[in-house]
Amino acid sequence: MSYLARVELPETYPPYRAFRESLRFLPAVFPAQSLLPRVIEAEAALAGAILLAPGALSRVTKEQIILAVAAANDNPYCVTVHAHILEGLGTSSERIRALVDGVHSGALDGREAALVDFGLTLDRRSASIGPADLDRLREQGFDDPEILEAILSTALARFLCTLSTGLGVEPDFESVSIPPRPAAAETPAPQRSERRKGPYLRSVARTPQDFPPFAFLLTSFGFVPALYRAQTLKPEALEAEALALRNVLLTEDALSRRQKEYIVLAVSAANLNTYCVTVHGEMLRVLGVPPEASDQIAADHRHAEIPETEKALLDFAVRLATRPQEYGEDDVRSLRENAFGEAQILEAVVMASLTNFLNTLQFGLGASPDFRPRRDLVAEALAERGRVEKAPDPDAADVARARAGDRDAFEALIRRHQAAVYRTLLGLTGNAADAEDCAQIVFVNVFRKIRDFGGASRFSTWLTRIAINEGLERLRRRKPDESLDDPGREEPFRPTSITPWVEDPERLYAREEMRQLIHQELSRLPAMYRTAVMLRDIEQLPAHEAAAALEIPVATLKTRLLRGRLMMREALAAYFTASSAGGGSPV
Amino acid sequence: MREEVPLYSCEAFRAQLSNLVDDEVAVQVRRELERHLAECRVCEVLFDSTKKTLTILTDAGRFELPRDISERLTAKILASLDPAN
Repeated sequence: MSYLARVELPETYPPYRAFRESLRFLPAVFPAQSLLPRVIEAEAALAGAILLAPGALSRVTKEQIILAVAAANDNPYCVTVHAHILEGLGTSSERIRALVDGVHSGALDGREAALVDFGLTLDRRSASIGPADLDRLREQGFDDPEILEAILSTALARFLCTLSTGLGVEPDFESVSIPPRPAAAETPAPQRSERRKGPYLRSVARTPQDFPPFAFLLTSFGFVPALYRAQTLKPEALEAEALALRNVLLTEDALSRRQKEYIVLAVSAANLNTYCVTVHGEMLRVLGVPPEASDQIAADHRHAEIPETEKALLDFAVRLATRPQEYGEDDVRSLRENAFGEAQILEAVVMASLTNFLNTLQFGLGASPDFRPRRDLVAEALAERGRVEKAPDPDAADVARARAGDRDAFEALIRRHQAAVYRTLLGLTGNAADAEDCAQIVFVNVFRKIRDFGGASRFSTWLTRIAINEGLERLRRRKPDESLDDPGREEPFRPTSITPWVEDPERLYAREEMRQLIHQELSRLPAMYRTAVMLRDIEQLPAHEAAAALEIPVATLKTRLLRGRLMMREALAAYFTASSAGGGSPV
Repeated sequence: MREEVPLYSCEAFRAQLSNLVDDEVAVQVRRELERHLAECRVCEVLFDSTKKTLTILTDAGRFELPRDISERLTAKILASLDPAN
């Protein structure tokens, strides 16, 4: 039957009735969770909003995505149930077989096949999905509401696969066989997708005042996470997700909220989802858990300072969510041995499933973190896989060889750093010929002085300092009247443009236009603000390194950074406010 | 008499804006800032557009050097290292 205890809920229980009405049967996965009806209600809402209610994509199209993803996950329960549902919707048995066998391209037309391929890609290569994957769907003529439903359907498929595995439910009908897939033992290494950031889909402006799910998120979490702001094209899905968060994450009658947030952290980290780790780390911080403790759970929960029983809980959730082929009834037993009750184990299963749902959703939508992430999980995983030592200074070896007179090592340093040096000099001098000329002088000086470089700072910080000084020197000669000195205490900055911006400004201009626009506006900033913004926001140096390169205290850097950013904001407002962009909808 | 802690003024909020977008404020401060944000439409716009400014700077400000420039530059630097020059 299934792994956990259950109780009888009446035939008239509304979610059961709703499933019987729309599916003509009650999938076994729901009665297997009868210990916590609030969880069944959340799932009924999600399935209703995403799959069962009419939407931008047809029911059959969404079921096809779910069936293909279930088969790729080797999940007999979901494959059997969704094959049965598709059959009932009139899909031919050849087509169903092709989806289960992973050879759908011949059986579906090009558009439908593209959607199924997208779902499979999102499921398998989640961490490396990028805007180009969505563009391929747009080329097939799909619009943003349709793409959003494809993402939601894939996320729901992952939810249902994890849930049915976790509960150990038997298929409701005669099992459909799933052929063994060519060994996809190792998930492909994530690749850095293009720098174009998300969210990838259009959204509409909604506020907590006019949209109850946002009001709920704001009161529950203190902010409306970007993941939800990226789904406003389908408000009914947001209503269901808000209910799921309320009923599963926030209600505390089985596991505690903190334990459930730990599950989100550990599973998201295993899925390499930096966004969810960042946002839920922030939620834990609001609950009083220090950031270091959250980081430790994300990095390696086995060595975190939490009770052994909670380590067992996280082992359970991570195995179920990310290595379902290794999961079984023994895992449930081991939680019982750790004194977890039936309802708590059920909740751990649902939390692992919900985290897979949220992770998949975020990968597909590309929602960017609401806060600057403390750690970049994909970069760390890449470093790990490449067995790159996390040396204090990545240039140390080449610097040592260059000091000993090795020309090849010095050339390697040039090639590694010349783009950053050139960008910084171009930003400072505002002209390409000067930038190139100064870059040459900088590297020649570095070559002459490299014996004096004692390694007190990183090589790149030292190099940046030399580049900044050279650029400022050039600027003094060209524009002797421009003050480069700190004017001391200034009047507080008064913003003049207070019109809301369009939702995704980056879609208004082509990349190259955008680059020129930034270059042009940045060059109008006074040099002291310009350097702070360039080093911190474009070159992405940590505050202490940017301050060291500019030879100013961190507090001074921060003051300059604030003003520089506000000035850039004012300058860019002319291009990106809803009215100036000629479209959009200012709330 | 017990009173609600006053909300941050717009000026106090703006002084912290940069730290807020960098996620470098203490929990208590953040709560106050968010309370202010929920009440003040102008600061909300300011906060949102500043975050977007940073995204634009990060994404589009950092370009790779075209190959011809990088090759030319490397060659020029290496040539000028020779003692003859």
